[in-house]
Amino acid sequence: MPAKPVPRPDLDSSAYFEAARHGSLLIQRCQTCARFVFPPRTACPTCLSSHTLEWREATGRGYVSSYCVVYRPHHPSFYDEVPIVFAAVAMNEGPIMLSEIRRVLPNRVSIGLPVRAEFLQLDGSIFIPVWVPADRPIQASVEMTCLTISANS
Amino acid sequence: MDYREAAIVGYGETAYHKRRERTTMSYIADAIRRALLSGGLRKDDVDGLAVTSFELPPDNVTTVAEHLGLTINWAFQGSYGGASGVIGIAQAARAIQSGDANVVVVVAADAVDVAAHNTEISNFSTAIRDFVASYGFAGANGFFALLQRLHMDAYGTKLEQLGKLAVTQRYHASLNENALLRAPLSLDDYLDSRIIADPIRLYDCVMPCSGGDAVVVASSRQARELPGRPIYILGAGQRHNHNPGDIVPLTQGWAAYADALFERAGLQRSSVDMLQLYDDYPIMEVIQLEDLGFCDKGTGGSFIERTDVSIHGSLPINTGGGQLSAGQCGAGGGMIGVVEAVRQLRGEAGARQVAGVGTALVTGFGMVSYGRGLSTSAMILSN
Repeated sequence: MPAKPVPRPDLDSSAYFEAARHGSLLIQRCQTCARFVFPPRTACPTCLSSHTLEWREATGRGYVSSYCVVYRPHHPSFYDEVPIVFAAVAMNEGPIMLSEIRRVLPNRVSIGLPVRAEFLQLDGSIFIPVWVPADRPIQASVEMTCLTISANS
Repeated sequence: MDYREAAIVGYGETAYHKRRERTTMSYIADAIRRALLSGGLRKDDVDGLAVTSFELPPDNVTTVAEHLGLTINWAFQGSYGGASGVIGIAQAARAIQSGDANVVVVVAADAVDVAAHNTEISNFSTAIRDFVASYGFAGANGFFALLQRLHMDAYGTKLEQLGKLAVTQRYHASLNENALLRAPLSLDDYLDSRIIADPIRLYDCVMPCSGGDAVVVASSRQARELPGRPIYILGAGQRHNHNPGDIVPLTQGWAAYADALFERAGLQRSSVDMLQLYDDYPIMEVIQLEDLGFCDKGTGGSFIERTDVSIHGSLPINTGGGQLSAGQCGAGGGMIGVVEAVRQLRGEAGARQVAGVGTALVTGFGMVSYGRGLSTSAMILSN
């Protein structure tokens, strides 16, 4: 099984991935216009301010604004995981995050489903947020998010 | 300002291949050669070149000119994916109007196949590489599945309505010897096809392939001295990053300029004889019908249901089979509609010729980044 594609953190995104490693979801907020921004970037897409983007800890709460159930992933590293629920999550702060919904049967996902963020470890140093139904109990270990759907649903 | 001092005077399309049988440079050369031949022009008449290709790097428009022995006064390289063909033609027409060039070849080609496409999608932009590709997102299929789900949920759009586009275009492809997918396709075949990213099915998806398409743009004055029938540009529009932050956008860039496009062309929508819509997915054709004003937002599905969009119908769509049935030769997918429109407007479409066609609307769409295509384009052509 080939390794999953991994992000390549750069100067604009390293704080995000460093926080994710410690279980914290950071998103940017513009101090000038007060808008939240995601994905991370170097200038505010609303007012173009560049030095006013600050990192804020997100609530890690949101809802599914759309989703699909993937049977044919783009990369062989995902073939053993299908079906995968890929979704657009409207975060409470406003921006949309594209991610996976985990620990749920695909047929239990619907537009509007409340979700919260958990973190998935890709390799030794890279963690990425995934989302689970908001009513799932919080788990102690990130490895728990890798449990199979059947064991959790 | 209109574009009537320039005209499309030639078109060419290479053979499409499921595998990379030749290099990207070879498909580019072949498409250019065919377009010049159809226009009755020679290589040395060319003084402008527009190239769009995903696979071209480390080469570029200038090294293509060197490779093919073209000395040019004007160069353009499309950075808008499948929107680049239409945009390149509009820019070429402007260059000709202003006297910066006389004869411009606009080409889009790629040597790709399914495996190459899947490799590239993970690195299509920084945002995809760092914030999407580590999820099981299914490439562009996943993004457009989110969009189709939302459209179905918000407006009640039905699979049968989307399937009618795939089925009709397959019929058109059966009359196109260059199409790669020509076997008959029924609505049941569509509905029963393998699920890729529910609700997207196999026959919602284009097949990445290898090939290229090109047109030649020249001044209207020169066009009248050439053997082929000149095809005029009545209007064009482009828009990028429409509604920033709308990651699953039910309304896209065409809505921003559709009214201006028809007004400048001096044309009612009801006077358009055919549509060549960028068809990476049927749901994008539905959204374009809405955004371009052929029906109200949310009613694209029912519009398809009640309209005969075949070559025999009141509003033929994608008369050569489109990318869905002919194949998507990378960036060439943004030119297949232009070439088919020119072919139809010149009356050279053979078995699939639409009778009495005088105007065609062609669209482009591309540069898929974080969840959505960023670039849209549209052009109205007339004979």
